[in-house]
Amino acid sequence: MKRQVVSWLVLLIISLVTVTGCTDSIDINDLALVMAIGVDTKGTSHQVEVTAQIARPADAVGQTGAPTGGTGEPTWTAKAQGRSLFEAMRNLMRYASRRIYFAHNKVIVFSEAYARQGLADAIDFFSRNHELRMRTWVAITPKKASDLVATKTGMQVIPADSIEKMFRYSGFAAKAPRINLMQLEADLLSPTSDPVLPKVDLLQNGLAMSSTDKKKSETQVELAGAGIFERDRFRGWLTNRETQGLLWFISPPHSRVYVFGCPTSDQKVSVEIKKYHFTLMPKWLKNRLSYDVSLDDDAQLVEVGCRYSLFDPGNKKAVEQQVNQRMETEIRQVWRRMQKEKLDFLRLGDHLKAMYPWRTESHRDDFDQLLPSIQLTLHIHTQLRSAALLQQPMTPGNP
Amino acid sequence: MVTEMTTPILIALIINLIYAKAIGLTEGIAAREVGNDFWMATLMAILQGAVMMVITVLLIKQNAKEDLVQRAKSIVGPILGGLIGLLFVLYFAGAYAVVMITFVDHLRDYFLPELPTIVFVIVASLVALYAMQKGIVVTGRIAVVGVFSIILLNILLMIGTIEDFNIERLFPVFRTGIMATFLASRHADTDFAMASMMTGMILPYIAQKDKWIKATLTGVFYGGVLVMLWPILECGVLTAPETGHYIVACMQMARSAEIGWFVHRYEMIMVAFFAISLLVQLMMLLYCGVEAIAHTFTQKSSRLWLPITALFSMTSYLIVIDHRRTMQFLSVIWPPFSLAIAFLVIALLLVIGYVQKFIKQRQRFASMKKS
Repeated sequence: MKRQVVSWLVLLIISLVTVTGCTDSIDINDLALVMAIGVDTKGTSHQVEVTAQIARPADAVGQTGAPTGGTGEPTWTAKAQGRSLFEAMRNLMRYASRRIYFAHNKVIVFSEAYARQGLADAIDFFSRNHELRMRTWVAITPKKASDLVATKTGMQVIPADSIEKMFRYSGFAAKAPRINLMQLEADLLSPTSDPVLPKVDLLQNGLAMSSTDKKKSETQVELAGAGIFERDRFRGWLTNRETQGLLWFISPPHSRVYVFGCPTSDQKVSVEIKKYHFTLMPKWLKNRLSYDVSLDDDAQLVEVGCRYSLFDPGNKKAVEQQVNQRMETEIRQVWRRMQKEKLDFLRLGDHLKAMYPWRTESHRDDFDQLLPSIQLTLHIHTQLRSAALLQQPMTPGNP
Repeated sequence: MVTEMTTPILIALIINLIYAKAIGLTEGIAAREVGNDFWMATLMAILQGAVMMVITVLLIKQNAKEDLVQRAKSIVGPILGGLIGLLFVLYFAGAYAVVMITFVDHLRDYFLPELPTIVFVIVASLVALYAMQKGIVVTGRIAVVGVFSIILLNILLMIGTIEDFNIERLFPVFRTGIMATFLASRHADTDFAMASMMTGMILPYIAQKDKWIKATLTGVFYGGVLVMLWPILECGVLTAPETGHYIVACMQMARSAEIGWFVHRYEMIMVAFFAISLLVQLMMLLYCGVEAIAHTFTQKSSRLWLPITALFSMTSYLIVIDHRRTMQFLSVIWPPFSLAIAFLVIALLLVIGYVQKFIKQRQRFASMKKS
């Protein structure tokens, strides 16, 4: 009996030390919650410069950001350099008074200069880190990444939250692809695909409430296209039209807006595409590879500035043709760019692999060289089905 | 102390024994070997697991009161049987280390990287020791809870990743060839082997002998289906190269789930569900190890609880302390060793058992004829 009591006591003491959750714990007040990371090169010296936007929870409380912690600033931005990304991150701790913690990080921004040197080691570092979420958004900027990370932008109290939400709802704006760490990693590891990242830039015309009276503009972060990569190295920027063509292939938009001139006046007609079905079908016939792209969509009239009725068959057909034409132009433009650059950022190889595995295998190493000879067949079919709530447009003096 | 157990508990135990290692470490190893055919390899392993299970059950059915070690002794005699018993002990020590690797790699690498490895090993072993002291019936009941948590975990993960699922990533199948995929299935086979070896040790305590085959195959089937979801999702969401890059692929999967937007650090919830299955594995493998050594040396098993727990923990610690050693053990040493025992030795014993039975029957028939 006595022996049993002693054994239970020993077990209890061991359990107290090991299983109460106190071991290895870090108090939340000792953590510096990183919300956004910017990665730049430092001058010409191959040094990495890391900028971290760190939340100050005490000053970020409440939806309005009413300060309780003293400074009124919901974030604190810190910058450090090192020979590698990890060393730079550690150097942040030279003056950060808390332990750097990445689990809440929302976005990673690479500068163009850094991306030209290759992202492989950065992706490796972020993938190895157990704190980081794989759904962290990744972007590239032609500016200094530190400037973007340090910019107060959007409606959220924490700027990184604004950027994160901007990405999450970017399907409506359809100005840039949505790429997270998981997708970037998959593109990098794919034997045929080349990565593509959304471009973020600084916009000078965002107005802040406090500055409206002074007619002063405030810098905001905006989605502004896409950057293409050869393996892990940055190659170039896509134009706005090319980016919109790219989205059909890799980052399906939630909606698309097309604006045309009225046939009878200088006013505009706006059409929204919400429902669509996009398919990409590779065909390998007589040693020639081609892709059939099929895009069936339903359009809706959303804004009409002239006398224009959906019930006139001629009007309907004219709009449908114009939408088809616009879509075809953007898809053909991005296709031509892909062929010119010989980079598979449209992930054609991945589609081919599923249909023609053995042929893909034989072109595993030279798939990029195959791209210029690939033919594209487009089947776009737009149906203008709805005029939203109105039967007739609101034209002045026309009851 | 041991009483009879029911077949649902046996099914629950089999599902738990297959699950925990199979969804993470095994898939990563197989993906490194055969790319996106790793999900096909897992599918093949379910069939092979069923075969291993049937062989084990048939061996025990030859004398329903004996477990694997006792059967070995009865079939090939006490000395050779004792040696086979020692092999079984080695098997359970290895299997315990494999599950300990799974336990430690999940918790240490993703949550508590600074905590000394020994703490994980001690805590897990203490839980297993405690369960053993309570008996396998209690562990069996925990296994039932484990099955529900496994189902919940699978549902949560499915909901959380379905948006990113791309079925094209599962194809082409057999890109590396049918033979290579079949060979890669050996990694998942080792997970089914754990279940069949455990079944071999506890079957004498399961009532309704006539339902053994049906119950064990049900366990393998459901365990296989619950495991299968993971390689399919891992391949369709993460892609095979990405799965192969990680040591614990299932945690990577949880870290990438859409649900992470709403439930921050979702992998913590995942581990909470999944830990029950892991701990049931440790409990049962420790129990089987103790029983195997007790029957090999005809000792009372309760006297061996502490020394065997210490021995198994120490072996596991020595392997799990080093990542390189861990992967070497899991991907190179463990599959041939495990399958040689769980499949070849058991099959050999079964055949010898049948031959002996046949000879005995003929002798009896001859003596009856004489008289």
